[in-house]
Parts: sequence; structure tokens; C-alpha cells
Amino acid sequence: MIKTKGEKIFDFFNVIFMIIFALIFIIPILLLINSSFTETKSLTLHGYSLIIRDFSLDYYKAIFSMESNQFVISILNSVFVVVCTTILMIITTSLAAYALTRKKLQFKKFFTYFFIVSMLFSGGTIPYYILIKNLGLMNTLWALILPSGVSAWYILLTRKFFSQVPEALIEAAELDGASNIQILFKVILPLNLPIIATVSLYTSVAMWNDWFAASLFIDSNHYNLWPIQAFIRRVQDSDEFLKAYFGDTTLNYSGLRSATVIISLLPIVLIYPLLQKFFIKGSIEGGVKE
Amino acid sequence: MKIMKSTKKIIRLFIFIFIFTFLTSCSTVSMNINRDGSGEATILIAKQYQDENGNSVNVTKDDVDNKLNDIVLAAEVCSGQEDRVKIKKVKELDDHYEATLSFMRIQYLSQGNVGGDLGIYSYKKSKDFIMELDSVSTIIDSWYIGAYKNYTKLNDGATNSMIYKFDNQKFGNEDAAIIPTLVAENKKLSEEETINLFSDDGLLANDSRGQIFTFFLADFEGLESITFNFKGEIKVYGSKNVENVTKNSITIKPITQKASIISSSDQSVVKKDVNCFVGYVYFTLQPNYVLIGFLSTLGGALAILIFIGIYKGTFKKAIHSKKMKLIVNNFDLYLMLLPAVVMLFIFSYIPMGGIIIAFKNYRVNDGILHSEWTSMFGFKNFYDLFTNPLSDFGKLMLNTFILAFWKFIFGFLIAITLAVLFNYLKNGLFKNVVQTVSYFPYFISWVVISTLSYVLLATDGGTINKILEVFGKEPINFYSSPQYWRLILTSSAMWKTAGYSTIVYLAAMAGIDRSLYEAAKIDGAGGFRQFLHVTLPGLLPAFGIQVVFSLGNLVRDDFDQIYTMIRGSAMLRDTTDTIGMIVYENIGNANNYSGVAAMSMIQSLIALILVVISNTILKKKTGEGAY
Repeated sequence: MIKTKGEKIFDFFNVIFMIIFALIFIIPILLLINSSFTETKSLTLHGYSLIIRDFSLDYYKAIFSMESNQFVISILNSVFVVVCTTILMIITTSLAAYALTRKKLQFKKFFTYFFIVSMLFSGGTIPYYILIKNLGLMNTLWALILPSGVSAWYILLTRKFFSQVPEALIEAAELDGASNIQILFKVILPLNLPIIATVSLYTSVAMWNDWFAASLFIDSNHYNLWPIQAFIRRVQDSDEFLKAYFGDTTLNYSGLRSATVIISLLPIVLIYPLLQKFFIKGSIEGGVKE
Repeated sequence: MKIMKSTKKIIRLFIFIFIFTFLTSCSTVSMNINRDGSGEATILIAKQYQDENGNSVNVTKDDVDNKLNDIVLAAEVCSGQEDRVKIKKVKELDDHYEATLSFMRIQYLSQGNVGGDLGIYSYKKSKDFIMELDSVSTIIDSWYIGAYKNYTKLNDGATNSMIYKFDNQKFGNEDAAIIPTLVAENKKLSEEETINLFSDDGLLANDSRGQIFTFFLADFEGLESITFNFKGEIKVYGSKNVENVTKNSITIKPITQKASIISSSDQSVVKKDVNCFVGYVYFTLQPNYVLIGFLSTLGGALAILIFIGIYKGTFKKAIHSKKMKLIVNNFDLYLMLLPAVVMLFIFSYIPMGGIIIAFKNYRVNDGILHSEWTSMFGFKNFYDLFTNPLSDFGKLMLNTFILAFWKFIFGFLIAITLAVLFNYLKNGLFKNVVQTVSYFPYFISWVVISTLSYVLLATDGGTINKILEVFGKEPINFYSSPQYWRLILTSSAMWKTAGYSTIVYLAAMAGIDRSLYEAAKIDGAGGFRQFLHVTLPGLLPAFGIQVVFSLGNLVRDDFDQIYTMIRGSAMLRDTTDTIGMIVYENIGNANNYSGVAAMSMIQSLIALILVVISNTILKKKTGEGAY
């Protein structure tokens, strides 16, 4: 294809625009990264900057040598929540999605509506809060795990993928005497690993990033149960809290805050290649639901 | 997406769920009304009475209203606003006024009492009454030597408490002891009978539906009588000047008693004769015949249906039918659905039912089911939202809506523009890098983004203010300037989702038939015309589905974004207070739950209506809905 002059100009400006566009995303994160590696005095003097003036790992050392080890505890809490929720999510999602694809299932419409209605309408925060309280889940990590361990949206999304498996394969397995569970694990799941991966990754990221449930259900007397985001939020919000954890530190507060944030971003950066590989497929099929 | 064929069915299902929830909660509540100590009191006030000096005093309607308002106020103060005494109506008769008050949950009245031995109302189970008999006797004693606190509202709106001290050990000339004056079935009980009644194995202790209502009212000038109506049969009552009028009502006439009244505002002491009402009622609750009738009709209908079923062999047919066989043979399928269904039921449907608190006055002690319904057929909370200026509901809705609207418009503009620009980039490293970088923020939490934005917005050392400084401009204190925050919240939301939101449109564009472009070219269409006539129409279906999804969010607020980003600044409320924020702020304040739940219910309902309507339109236009 030969490009006209106008198209070439368009392409040129498009590239320029894209560079600026990418910088909008890079610069804030870069400022944060740099501040977490800049030595205290230099950071206090120059503030956030696009270059690292005096490299230092002081903030990171301070975070991991914290007396109460609260940061590490928070990370472990988050890991626990992420792992439990993801496992639960895979179980509930794949079982229900499989059942919904089977022709032999009676009342299929009822079950489908049951899932859809739960997506369309919600009782709101207050009744939800009262429920969790009445279930006795306050100040436990299960208050974060159990409600997030099921998603009508993922069930319906996964069902779409499962139903693309040729019926002949399943019938063959049935002829061999395989039960539904066996068919799910031996036929359906191996063929649908991408969507399972998508659901797991989304759930993991959502749980890692969640602070809302923790702020509702875990009060400040139980901060040893706080997941990482709840901890970071407190560190960001109050100097007193920072002091309480880092003692009479001479380190720059902004640097400490940046370092905690950077560490919390690491797992996401690590699985980002996987995320990118799977989320595109998942979101296109699902029409992307916010 | 063709998960659902008809929107109508969703609506029908909804109506069913709502009716179901309402019916179940209504029946629980009507069963409960008899237990919450509600009832009515009719008060007769003479239009003219003689004061202690023998002068006749005229009572105006205003006097009556003031006095009644004081009673309501006293109930409110004494119970910590847990109790509800309401003036139902005041009627003017020939020579007196007749006021009707309704009361609910009298049990809270004595709890909130300051000082412990002040005015008494109590309402408890007879068992508990027996258990506390010792303490009750001291309370009964204190009726003669103790004090009663009354409240009046001053002109400036402040509350003045008046303490009535009763010095006499006796009421009038009569014996002061209360217990011997017990009356049952219009017969005075002997001392022995009374002791039996109150003993550990007596009538009161063994009646699980029995309730004791003790009362003490003082200083209502010109008052002729009070009639209490209870929702239950009165078994025993004890007091001076009490008459059993009907099975469930008693009328009490006042006793004049000398008292010193100490005003809390100026500590002045006035000694005078005041009218007192004192006594207690023991009554047994009656079953709720409406509910029993309702349930037995339901049960009867069910029984008839089952009978007809058995008679006609429908069940036999059903059990041996193909369908039943399918269900039994594939039982594991239902077991597989079970975890998801159970969890969704608990964590999604039960809170939906919990929405009834929006129609109630939620009190922690009463729980969701046992809290009482509000007036106006339960819609009082909603009425208050729209009429009470303190609720600020208009501002909240406006903030919620404006923010969502900005995000909605810019979200679509940016997503489609970017997707088109991405599409024009040559495949290769550069395109990959830009896409990778722009998708990333979608996976960052709001907590982290709030830190990033603080780096930019901080007054002291924030990047934006540094740039302003270079240009010699005054620094802006963003965290105390509400006018910037709609922009800040919208742009940070765009920052988070812009890249990610292009994915759908990129996919849709990849799906556009290349030959359409070729054909357009042959027709002489340039780049822009191709975009207008081929690309945009190709994006429409994906766009439609996105609109349906986003419309649902139009009244929902990204409250977690706002809450983390404003970093607790109270000065931004003018633009950042949304419904979600208020809900979150009130989570620790159970007394506000009902009003707040009403707010979020309106929000959810509008979202639902928008989604259903837009989905219907989408289905009509494209044949496929988002749900």
C-alpha cells in the first residue's frame, strides 16, 4: 500500500501523540519509583524528580526491618486472601459453569436468572455490612474471602467458553462411563485453561488491590489482620500511623510511602505478562464488564 | 451476549422476589408488633381546672400541645431517641381535650434515664420483672421518696429538665404500699394471693407471654384521666385510682401529691401540688390473629393443592416422569451448582432482602426483622430524603450524577479515539510498548493511585505546583479546593481505564471486513470518510453493549476512588460527597442505617432501570442484548 502525503503526516502526529500518551502513564510511576530510591536528604531537598540523585535502599531496608513486622504480616494476609479466594472462585465458577452447559440440567432458566439478577441489583453496603456482622465474620479474613469467592459474571462468562467444547467429545466421555465431575476435569478444563487462567488472574488482582472490604470488616484494633492495601492506605493517610510503625525514623516520609507502594505493585508487575496474555481474550468475550 | 432472552422476565422475577421478601418480612413484623410494647394512650384534659389556690385556670389548645410535646421530648431524651412516643391527634370536646398518643418500645425509656432513680417507665417480660423484683421494689419505693425528671423545651430550643422531688411517703392519705392494691379480674387481691402471684412459681413467672408495664407520670395540670390501650389482655393491674375499662385497657385518674420542683436551668425550687399517675399493668400478649389467619389460609390452600395432586395422580406422574428421572439421574449437576447458588444466595440475595431496613427505623437492638416500620406506609425515610434539607440528598445525587456523567462521556470519547489511533499504528515494538504501558494502570489499586496523584497534587513539592512555580504562579492547594475535584477524579479515572477500555473496540475493529475499506477506497473515500462510514458503524454493536454496562454505573459512584483520593480532606465535600461516601461514613452509626439505606436503594433502582431500558433498546436495535 502506498501512503498518501496526508496519511504520512497523520502517522507522524499519531506517533508523537502516542509518545506523549505513554509518558502520561510512565511519569507518575517513575516519580514514585525514583523517590523510593533517593537518599533522604536529597529527597527532602529536591522532592519528586525524574532522575535519581543519590541512590539508596534505606526505605526498603526500613520497611523490612520494622519492629512489628507489620508490612510483612500484611503481605502474608493478602497472599492468604488472594490464594483462598482464587481457589474458591475457580471451584464455584467451573462447577456452576459446567452444570449450566449441560442439556440435561432442568430449570436451567431459573438458575441463569438467579445469576443474572444478582448482577443487576444489589442490596447495598448497609445490609451487606449487617449480614457480615450477623454471620460473625467481623474481624476475620473470611469476611474478605467468602463473599468474593463467587461471581455470577464469571460463571456466565466461563459458561460461554465451556459451551464451545464440541458435544461429541462429552458424549464420547459419557459413553466411556465418565461422571460429570470426571468430564469437567478431564475434558472441559484442559480445553479451557485460558478462561480459567483469566478468571484466576482477575480475581487475584482484584483481591490484592482491595482495601474496601478490609476497611469495613476489620477494625483498627485488629491491624494484624490487615491486608496490604489497608496498611498502605493508613500509611499514606496519617503521619502518626507512620511514626507508630517506623519509630523515630529520620527517613523522609514520602520516600517511605513510595517504597511501600512500589513493593505492593511488584506482584502485579510480575504477573503482568500473564495478565496481558489472558485478559484480552477474557474481556473481549465478556464485552468487558467494569 | 445472549444469556437472556427477555428483559420482561427479569422484571417479572424481580417483582416476585420483592413481593416475596415483603410478604415474609411483613408477616414476621406483624407477629412482632405485639411484642414490642406498642400501644395507645388517650389523655383527657379539662378545659378549666382549679389550681392549688382555688383559682380557675383556662387551658388553651396551645397549652395542651406544649404539654404533649414535652412528653414526647421527655421520652426522646430518656430513651436516647430509641423510643417513639407520637402525638396522633388532639380533639377538642365540649369541656375537655382528648389527646391520643401512640407509644412503641417503652422498654427503652428507663434505660436512657439519667441518675437511675428518676422517672420510671419500664416494660419487660414478667419473668425478668420477677428476677428484678428486689430492684423494682426499691424503684417502687422511690416513687414516693424519689424524684422524677421532666423535660421542657425552652424558647431558644434548648432543653430544660425539671426534677420533681416527692417528700411524702404516702400518696394522699392512703397507704403507700403498692402491692396490696393489686387487682385482678376486678377483684382486689389479698396479700397472700399477691405474694403467690409474684413468687418464683407464680403466675407471673410462668407466663412467657406476660409483660409488665410500669408507669409514672407527673405534673400535667388539668389532666383528668389517662387510658392505656395495650395489645394484650390485662391480667393484673396495681395502682391508686385505676379502673379496668375493657379487657385490654385501663383508665387512671391522678393523685395529687406535694413535690419540690427543681429547674436545671436556674436551680430554682418551686413547691406545689402536682398530679401524679403511678402504677403498673401486667398483661398477656394475644396471638396475632391476622397472621394466624394468613398462614393457615396459605397452609390450607397448599394442603388442598397437595390433596388434589395426590388424588389426580399428578405427583405419581411427576415422580415417574421423564423430567424427574433426568433430575434424579443427573443429581450431581445440581450438586455442582450448589456452592455458587448457596454463596450467591447468602452474600447477594440476603442483603437484597435486607433492603427492607430502608422502610424501617433500624435499631441495633431490634435487628432488621424486628425494627419497626416507618410511618407513611414505610416510605417516611424516602420522604425525609427529599424534604429534609439536612439530608442533602439533592447535592449528593447531583455530585454522584455529574461525576458519573463526566466519566461516562469522556470514557467513551477517549476509548474510541484511542482505539482508532492504536489501529493506525504499525504493528511492532512501539505499538506493543504503548499498549502495554497504557493497560497497566487498570491493574493498580485506587490506594496506589491516590499516592500517585498526591505526588502530582501536593501543595508542598507536588509536581504540578512545582511547574506552576517555574511559571511564577501561586501554588494551588488542591486538597482544600473543591472546584478542581470533579476534574481530578474524572481524569484519574480516565488514567486508570483509558488504555484498557480500548481493547473491546480494537477487537471490534479487527473484526471489520477489510473488503469494506477497499470498496470505500474505490468509491474515492479518504481516510476520514472511511473512518466515518466503515469504522464507526463497525464499532456500533460493541459500543452498544458498553453503553448498557456503563449506564448501570451512571448513578453508581466509584466511592473507593473518591474516598482514597481525597485523603480524608473535609474541605472538598461540596464536590466529592456522593451517596457512596455518605453510606461509608455512616457504617459505624447504626441509627442512620435506614436513611442511608434508602439513599442507596434509590441509587440501585435508578441504575437497574437504566440498564433494563438501555438493554431493551439495544436488543430492539441489534437483536442482541448485553444480558
